[in-house]
Amino acid sequence: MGAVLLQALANFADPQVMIAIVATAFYGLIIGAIPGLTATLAAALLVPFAFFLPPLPAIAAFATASALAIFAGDIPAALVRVPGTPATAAYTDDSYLLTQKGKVGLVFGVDILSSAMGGIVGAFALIFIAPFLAKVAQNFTTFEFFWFAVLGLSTSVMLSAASPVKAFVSLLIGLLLGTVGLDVTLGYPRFTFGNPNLLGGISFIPAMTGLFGVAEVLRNVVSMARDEGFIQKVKFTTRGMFRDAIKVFSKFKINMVRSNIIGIIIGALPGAGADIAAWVANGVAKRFSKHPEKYGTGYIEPIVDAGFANNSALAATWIPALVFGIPGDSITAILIGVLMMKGLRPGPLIFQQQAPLLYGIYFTFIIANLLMIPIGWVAVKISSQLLRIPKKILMPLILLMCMLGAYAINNNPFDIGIMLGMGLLGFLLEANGFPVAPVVLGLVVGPIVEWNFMQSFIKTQGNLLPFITRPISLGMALFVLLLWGYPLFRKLFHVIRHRA
Amino acid sequence: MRDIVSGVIFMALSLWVYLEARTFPKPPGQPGPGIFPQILAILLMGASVTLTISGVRKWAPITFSWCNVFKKLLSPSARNFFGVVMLVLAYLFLSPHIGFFLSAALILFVLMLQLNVHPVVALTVAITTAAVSRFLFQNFLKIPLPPGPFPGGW
Repeated sequence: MGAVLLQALANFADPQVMIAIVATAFYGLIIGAIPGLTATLAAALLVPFAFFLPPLPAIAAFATASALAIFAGDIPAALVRVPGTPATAAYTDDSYLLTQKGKVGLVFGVDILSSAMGGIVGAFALIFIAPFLAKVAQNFTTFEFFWFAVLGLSTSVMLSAASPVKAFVSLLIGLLLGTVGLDVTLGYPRFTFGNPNLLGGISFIPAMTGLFGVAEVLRNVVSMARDEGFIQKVKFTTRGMFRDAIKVFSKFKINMVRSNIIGIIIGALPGAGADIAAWVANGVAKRFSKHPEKYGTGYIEPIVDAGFANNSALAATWIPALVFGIPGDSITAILIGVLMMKGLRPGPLIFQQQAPLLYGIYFTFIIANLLMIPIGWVAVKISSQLLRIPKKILMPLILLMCMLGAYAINNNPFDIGIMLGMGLLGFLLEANGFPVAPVVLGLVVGPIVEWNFMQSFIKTQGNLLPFITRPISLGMALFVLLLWGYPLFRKLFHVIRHRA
Repeated sequence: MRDIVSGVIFMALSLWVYLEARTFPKPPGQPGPGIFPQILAILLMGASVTLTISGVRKWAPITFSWCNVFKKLLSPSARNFFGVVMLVLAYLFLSPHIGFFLSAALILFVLMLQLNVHPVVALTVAITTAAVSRFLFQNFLKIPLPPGPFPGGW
C-alpha cells in the first residue's frame, strides 16, 4: 500500500498533471457558469484533448472539469434562476430568492464550501469504501432501483413550498413529458405527433432553461411594465462569504454528515447519481428540519444539504464506473470511453493492476475540490457583478443565453422551440401556484422509473411481488411508505399522546 | 377560481393522455408502451379532481367581462410578454436565413427597445453580446451556429 501511494504521489507530481488540473479547473468553471451548458458538455469537449494526453493527466482533466462545472452550475442558478444541473434545480428557488434579498455572499460561500467539502468527503469514500460499496451495489437490481427513483420523485413533492397536490400535479406533468419519444421496451413512438425531433424525447437542458430561465424572463418583463419599482437593482455584498458560510455550517452539523452519507450511498448506485442524491438529501432534511415551512422561500438549509449530497455523490459515481465499468451518469460514461481509449479496462481487476493510477485519480479529486475554493471565490466576485446590470438589459441577455444553451445540447433549433414552450408552461404554472422544480425531476427521473419497472415486469413475466418480497426492495418500499405517510403518522401520534 | 380552471384543464389533459395511451400496441405477455402513461393519467385525474374540489371549497365569485380581458391583453405587461414570445419565434424564423449574429443582435435590440433601454445603449449591448456569444460558441466551443452573409460566416 505504502509503495503504491508513493508511486501514485510521484505520478501525480508530474507537471503535466498539475497543468491539466489548473487549466481544466478554469475551463470547467467557465462552461458550468454559462446558463444551459453542462458538466457533461465540458467533459465531452475534453475528449479530443484527452486523446493526446497520458492516462493520468487525461483522467485528472475529466475529474477536475466535471467537479468545477457542477459547482459552477450553482452560479447562474443563484444569479439568474437558471440551474446548471437537475441537482441544482433542487435548491434553485432558495438560492435565487436569497440572492434577491442581497445575500449573494452567503449563498456562494455555502455553495463553494459545501461543494468543496462534499467533494473531498466523496473522494475519501472513493478511496476507503469503494470496493465495499461496489459489492453492496452488486445486490441492487431493477426492483431496488425502481424504489430509489420513486424515493427521489417523492422528495420533490415533499420539498415544495406549494400545496402537496399542486406539487404532485407538477411532478406528474414532468413524468408525462418524460414519456414523449420512443418507449423503452418496444421503441414505439409516444406523443410525438409525427415529429421526428420528438422521437428522442424532450431533452432536459432545453426544458430546464425554459422552465426556470425563460419563465423568469417572462415574469420580470411582465412585472417591469406593471411596477417600475421592481426593476431596482439588488443591493448585495460578497464580503465575509466564507465566514458567514462557516457560521451556517456550525448550525447544520447533522445535516452535513447526513447529506454526505446520502450522497455517497446514492452516488455509488449505477444510474442514480448526483441529481437524485441532492433531491433525496433535501427531502430527508425537510422531514427533520425545524423550519420545513421555509423550504423554497429563500432558506439556506436546503442549499447546505443539497450542496454536500450533490458533490459527495459526484465522486461516488466513479465507484460503479471503476469497479464494474457501469457508468453512474453521463460524465462517467464518457470517462469509461476515455479509459478504454487509453487501453485500461474498468472492473474489479483495476484495483490490482492499476493501483497507482487509481490513487492518482483520488488525489486529483482532493486537489480539484481544494482548488474550487480560491477559483470559485474569484468566479463569484466577477459573476456577481451581473446583479449590477439593470434588469431591463439583463433579461434580454438571459433570454439569449437560454436560447444558446438550449440549442447547444443537440445543435438543433427545435430545442429552442421546446425551451419556449417550457418557458410558457413554467410561467403559467408559477402564476397559478404550481412549483416548477418537480417538473424537471419528473422529466429526468421518469424514464428511469419506467425502465426499471418495465424491466422488472418483463423479467418476472408480470409478477409484481418481487417489488416487495426481496429484502432490500421491501426495506426501501417501507421507507418510501413511511416518508409518504409521515404527516399522517405524526397526526396520529399527536392524537394518541393528547388522549393519553 | 384559478384552482378550478387548472383542475379542469388537467382533467382534460389526463383524459386525452389516457385515451391516446390506450391506442398504443400491447404485445402478449407484456404491459406495452401504454401502461406507464395510463397510470400517470389516472394519477393526474385523481390529483386534478382533488384540486378542483379544493377550488370549489374556496370558491369566491368573480365578475367576468370581455372588456377586462381586452384591457389585459392590450396592457404593457401583455405587450412585453408577447414581445418575448414573438422575438424567440422571430429568431427561429430568421436565423437560418440571416445567420446567428444578425438575428441575435436584432432580437436583443428590439427587446431592449421594448423595455425602454436607450437606443444607443441597446444597439451597443446587442451587437457586443451577439458578437461575443458567436465567438464563444462557434470558435471556442465549436458549436455550429447558423451562418450569416458576412465573411467567415458572421
